[in-house]
Amino acid sequence: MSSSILTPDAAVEPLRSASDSPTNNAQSNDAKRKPTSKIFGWLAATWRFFVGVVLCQHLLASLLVVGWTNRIMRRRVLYEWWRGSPSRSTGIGFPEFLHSDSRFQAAAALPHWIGPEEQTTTGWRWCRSLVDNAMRGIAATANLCVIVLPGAVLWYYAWVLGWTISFNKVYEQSHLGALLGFTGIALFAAAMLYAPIALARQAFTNSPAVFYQWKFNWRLVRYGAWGHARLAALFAVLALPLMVIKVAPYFVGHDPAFQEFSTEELAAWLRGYYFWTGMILLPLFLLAWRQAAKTYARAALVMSRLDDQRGNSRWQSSWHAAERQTLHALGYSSVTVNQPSPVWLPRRVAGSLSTACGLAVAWAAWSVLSLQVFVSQFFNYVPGMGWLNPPLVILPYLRYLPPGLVD
Amino acid sequence: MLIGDAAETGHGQGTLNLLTGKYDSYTDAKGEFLGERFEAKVPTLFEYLRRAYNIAQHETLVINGEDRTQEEFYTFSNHHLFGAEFRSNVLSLYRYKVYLLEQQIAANKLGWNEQTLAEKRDELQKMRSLDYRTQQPGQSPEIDQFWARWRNYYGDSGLVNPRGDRLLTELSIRALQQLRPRLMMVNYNDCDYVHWGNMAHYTQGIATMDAGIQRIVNAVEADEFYRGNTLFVVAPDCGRDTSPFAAVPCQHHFNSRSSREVFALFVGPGIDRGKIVDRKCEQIEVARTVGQAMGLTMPHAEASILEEAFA
Repeated sequence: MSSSILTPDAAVEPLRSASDSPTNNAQSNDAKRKPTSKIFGWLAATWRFFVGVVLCQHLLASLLVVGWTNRIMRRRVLYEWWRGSPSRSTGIGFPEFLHSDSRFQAAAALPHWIGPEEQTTTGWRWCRSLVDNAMRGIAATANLCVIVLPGAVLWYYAWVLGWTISFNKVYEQSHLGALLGFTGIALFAAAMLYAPIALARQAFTNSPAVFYQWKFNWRLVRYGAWGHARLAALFAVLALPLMVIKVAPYFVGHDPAFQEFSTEELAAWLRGYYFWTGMILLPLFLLAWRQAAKTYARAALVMSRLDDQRGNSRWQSSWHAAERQTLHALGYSSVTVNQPSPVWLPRRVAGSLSTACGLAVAWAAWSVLSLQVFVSQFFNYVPGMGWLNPPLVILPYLRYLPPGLVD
Repeated sequence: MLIGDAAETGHGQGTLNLLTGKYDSYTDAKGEFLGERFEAKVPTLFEYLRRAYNIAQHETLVINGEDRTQEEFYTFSNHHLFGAEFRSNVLSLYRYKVYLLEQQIAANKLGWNEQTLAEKRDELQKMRSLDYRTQQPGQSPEIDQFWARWRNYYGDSGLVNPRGDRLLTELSIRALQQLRPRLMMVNYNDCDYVHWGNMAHYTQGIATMDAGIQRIVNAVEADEFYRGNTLFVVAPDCGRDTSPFAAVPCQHHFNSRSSREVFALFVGPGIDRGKIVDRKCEQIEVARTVGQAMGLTMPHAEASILEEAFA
């Protein structure tokens, strides 16, 4: 008996090697001929990065950066799947794979900000990247907010309540502030156990609805528990420089030299500070979410392979068409076994324990990330956004001008 | 007015600067991290005053906030010629709780069983142990009488009496009427609840403090015992940060320049009305100036006297 979980629902043929496919060969050669000089490539990438830094200076514009990052995440998923695919072993390179299908071609280069990646596009599509970045950014941020904001709102409220209790000396209720704060941290950490994988999946499929496939996404999280722990730890580490960036202006502002500055000069200085530190923020944001994409991609591979081997077809319909077709195109669906192999009980228990440990570590790391928000607020209090937008998680926006310097 | 570079810009240190007239480096007596249980090495104003004029304990008072128990014990120094024998007394919610628990255990009208009584005794012992430098627990009998009247009026619940700085004002006014203090320090602190939070707490706290001072001044003016012979001094224990890049630049623990910049307001007989002393001077000069007004010599204080303050 033969079983296959990733049955293609469209006529998508697995890739053959470049030498077997005249079309792919031509595209590949074209890809080899077309790339302009490396210098031009670097210049273009630098320019796109610079635009990203500029966009990080405005709250709404940073939505575009989220969308742009979303598309980079998609590319990362494709890369991970290609890297471990049977197709790769047959000699198909990553660029060839991307050029083999019109759906993947856009991922061949760093996403554009405004115009389409394909040069032949006409009509309204001249701004396709802009629309795509905006739509993806809005969808990703909205979904993240749904799941992450409850915890963030709770810790914001807990902080305000705590100070209000202290100010009004209602110490008999002082446990409320701490309780709500810890609940907020726990909620945030729990949400972040789920959100990165779900968002990476949304990024790959470009379908906001997959974010809410709770059981399926959670299964992915469990299959990549230790990968997720590494991801959470990476977020916690990458958030450290951002914490320093946020806190530093408070201390820098004590320099007597600033006493000679006018309000306009102070505002200009702070804007400049946040612009230059944006050059740190953006790469960290990209690095963190690229890793999320990698974690999702690997978990998806593990899950599909295991389901395939075990003949478990229960989740077959839960895969998004884009996932099924891509995995099939890369030859994953050809992984078949004659009989579902029985899983030895102790091994299964050990596996469950390992998953639980991985998730516990991840949860702890996400808690550390949320504690960093408290620490940074302790040193440089920023009402509202300081609580609701951890810049590595939701919007890459780290720019706090105090009320006295605005306008 | 500045806090000298040798001093930390904390509440405890600032309070001791104002009381001793000397900058010193302080560490927590129990070695606790961020603890502010400091012990002055040179005499406080209370000790100088009591020793000079043989004034009773309850006539020198610290009115303290309920969440600053560490400052309950700045009532005397470790100086071998002064110390506990010349200590001042404290009025605070903590002290009232100690008094109340003593009374409740003694009378046991609440019908506590042996186990509960034992627990309450332990609780009382813990509360008393905060005052570890004094052999005899409790304060002057006059203070106990004060608390008896307070209890009679506000009851045992703690939910009827005012809280925060309004409580300090209430305690101060009752103390003026019942204990007739000669030197009283009121540690207002509502405006400190702004460090990392709501900026409105700062201005609201100042308004509460302002209203409290007005009530105290009115009470003094209405009392023949104090009228015309009472000196008011308003002095912060530290300043606040003024980083222009912060939404709430109200911390003070980082020893920034602005957290060292303070002021002192002197009002009363012998003080030049409306005079502004616009020169650099030290926070510790407040102690020497108050001492001068009371005719005290303060040999262990290192500050000079703000001569310009006097008419």
